[in-house]
Amino acid sequence: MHHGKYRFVLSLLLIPLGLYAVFVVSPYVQAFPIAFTDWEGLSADYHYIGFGNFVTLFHDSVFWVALRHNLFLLVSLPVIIVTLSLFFSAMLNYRGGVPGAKFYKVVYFFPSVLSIAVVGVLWQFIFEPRNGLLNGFLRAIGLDGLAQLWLGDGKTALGSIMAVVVWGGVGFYVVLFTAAMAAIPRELYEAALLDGAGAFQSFWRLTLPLIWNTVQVALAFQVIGALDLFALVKILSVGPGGPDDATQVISLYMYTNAFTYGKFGYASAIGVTLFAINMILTLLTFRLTRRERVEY
Amino acid sequence: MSTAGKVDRRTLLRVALAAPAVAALASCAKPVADKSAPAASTGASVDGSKPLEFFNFDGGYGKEWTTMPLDLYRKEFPQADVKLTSGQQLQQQLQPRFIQGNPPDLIENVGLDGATLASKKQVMDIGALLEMDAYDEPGKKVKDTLLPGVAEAGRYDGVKYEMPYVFGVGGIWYSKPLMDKHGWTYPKHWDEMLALCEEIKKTGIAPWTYQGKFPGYLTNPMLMTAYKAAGPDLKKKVDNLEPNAWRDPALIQAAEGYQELAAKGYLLEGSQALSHTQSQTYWAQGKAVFIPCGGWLENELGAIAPKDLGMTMVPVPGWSKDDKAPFETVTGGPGGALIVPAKAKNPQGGLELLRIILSKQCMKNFTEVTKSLTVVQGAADGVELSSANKSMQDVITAAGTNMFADWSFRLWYKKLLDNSDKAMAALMNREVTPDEWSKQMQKYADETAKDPSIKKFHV
Repeated sequence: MHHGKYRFVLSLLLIPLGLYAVFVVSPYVQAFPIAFTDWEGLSADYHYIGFGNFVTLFHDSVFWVALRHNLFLLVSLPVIIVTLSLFFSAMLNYRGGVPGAKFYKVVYFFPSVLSIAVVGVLWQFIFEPRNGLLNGFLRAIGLDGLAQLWLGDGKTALGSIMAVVVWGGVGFYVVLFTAAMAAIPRELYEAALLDGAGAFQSFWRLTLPLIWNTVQVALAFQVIGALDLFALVKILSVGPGGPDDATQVISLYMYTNAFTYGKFGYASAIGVTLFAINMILTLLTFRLTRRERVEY
Repeated sequence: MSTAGKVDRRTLLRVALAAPAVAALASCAKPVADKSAPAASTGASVDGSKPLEFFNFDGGYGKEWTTMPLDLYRKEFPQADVKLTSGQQLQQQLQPRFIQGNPPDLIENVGLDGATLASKKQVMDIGALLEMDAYDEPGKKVKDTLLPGVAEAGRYDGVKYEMPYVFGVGGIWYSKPLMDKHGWTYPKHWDEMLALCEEIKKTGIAPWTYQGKFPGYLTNPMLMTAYKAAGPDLKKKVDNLEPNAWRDPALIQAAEGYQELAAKGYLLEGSQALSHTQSQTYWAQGKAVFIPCGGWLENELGAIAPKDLGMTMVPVPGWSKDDKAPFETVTGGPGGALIVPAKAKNPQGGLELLRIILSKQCMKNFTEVTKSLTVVQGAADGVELSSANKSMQDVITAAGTNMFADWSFRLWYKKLLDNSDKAMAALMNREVTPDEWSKQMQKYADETAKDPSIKKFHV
């Protein structure tokens, strides 16, 4: 009996796993040997150059600028997004759900339904300095002085892109956190209420510890997301990656090296480095956010 | 053509790539080494039974123009299975095919790095085509039907790898009716340009705008102003990556001059953040008087351009009356690149199709369909030209021999080109002084010169 069941499960898994291995795992693995070559990506002619690409990378000032931006995003984006989402979901769940909570959840979730390319193009129009929504709004309420070049100015470009990431990301985590919060038994809140805990206290002492697993997963997603950001930067920024590298990120720099400069070996080396950073940071995130699991 | 890099980059943006870069890398299987670089010969005949594939860049010129040459090929070789494939992402679409060794037989190349293809012998030497008989002009060889400079263009280390098909120039555009209405005349030197800008500004119209999201549109005009001040030697030094070439006073003074546009408020507000379509639309609406662009502007504006716009192209202003090169100097000439891959299955067929494309009837059809001038003599005869095309004809005539394709470093060294765009953005955002700009450019040029992985060319 059991034997037959496993065979059935195995045969179901075989095709998706096979596809995954061929189209996902194998190209990833191939990037490693390519990272040690001088391959330019158009011919069958390449040489192994040892750690040459990595040495160059270490001395590449643009790479360091990109890494600095990624690290900055890595620290700031998860904090902003998780804080905002926690706030919104706590509000929605307040006393068992505010009126219209379902409607708000849908509205918050709306950006997550849009493809990232659509989000990028949409915000391109919002940031447009002459007739864009943002400057138009600022001028309409008399704040002409606050109207900016946004994406065109090195001082505001990265912040503008961050705003889009936050706008697009918060809704997903609101839904995630609200679901987790809804799973907390009501009696616990009633008990806390009887013990004299206010809304603020019951959030910190009760809600947050009980949904910590979900927050942890959210943070890990954010860390990985903050290291990518390729699509938004590519679509929105000047250059792209500009002005003058003001929005340069590692994934875009990798792409530019591969497809604009024709340096596939070097781009793979960037990819391998990014992979290493990603692994380390993800493990760190799980380790740093580890807490005793609360059973309820 | 000076446009190649830009068309590539813009189309990338138009299609708005969403795939993460890692996924893009996934498409590359590691290649198997195999070296061969055949050259075309006039003697080899076409095997009419072999299938033929033409890969068309479905961008600025579209694909409508390809119908006529493909039909002519089908008529000549009825057994051949003739296929047209189109796309805008040549790097992604064709790279795997180059590596696997089954590229199309003829490619309209916008996006693949021509210098790399040439240095890796991935494209066929098509020099023999020039000696073949012209398709529809009896008694003439192909090379005799082409405009001056076309046979020489598209060569790397002297070998003819690319066949240009359009003929264009780059410069500054204005609306003639708008200039006439205010009694403004186009200045030949930069100080007069700034004086005119002051006058224009008073009327409430912005004197200049540019495609700020792609700062490279303004790099070419600035370099041309420097070129006119310093003469051809400057370009030679810069293109050969000579030490301190970018520290030349002519370049620094041109950078000062162009930064003035931003400093004195002569730019349409927000220009630095506008995409090419946005800035060009504002220009066509008369919100700004001058915009730098290549010959494709009219086609790109399409219906946005008002009927009475009277688009007119003129050369970039020089610096002063002491200039060493004439005001009429422009970048332009033959552009575009049709290539026959060295490993194509039917290279002789690809070459034959190329010969058909270069026929007078097909090039005339090209001009009618795309409103663009081509490389074949007399192909525009009888086609009614717009004011934009007429002004470009005038610019070409006035330039005579004072015309070159572009600053060669922009064609040879993609990373340096990209870096020059970055530096241009910093200059126009006034984040760097002109002197800092020149130091930065020198640093970028030195990096390229020192990078052993970049193949060097010389002028």
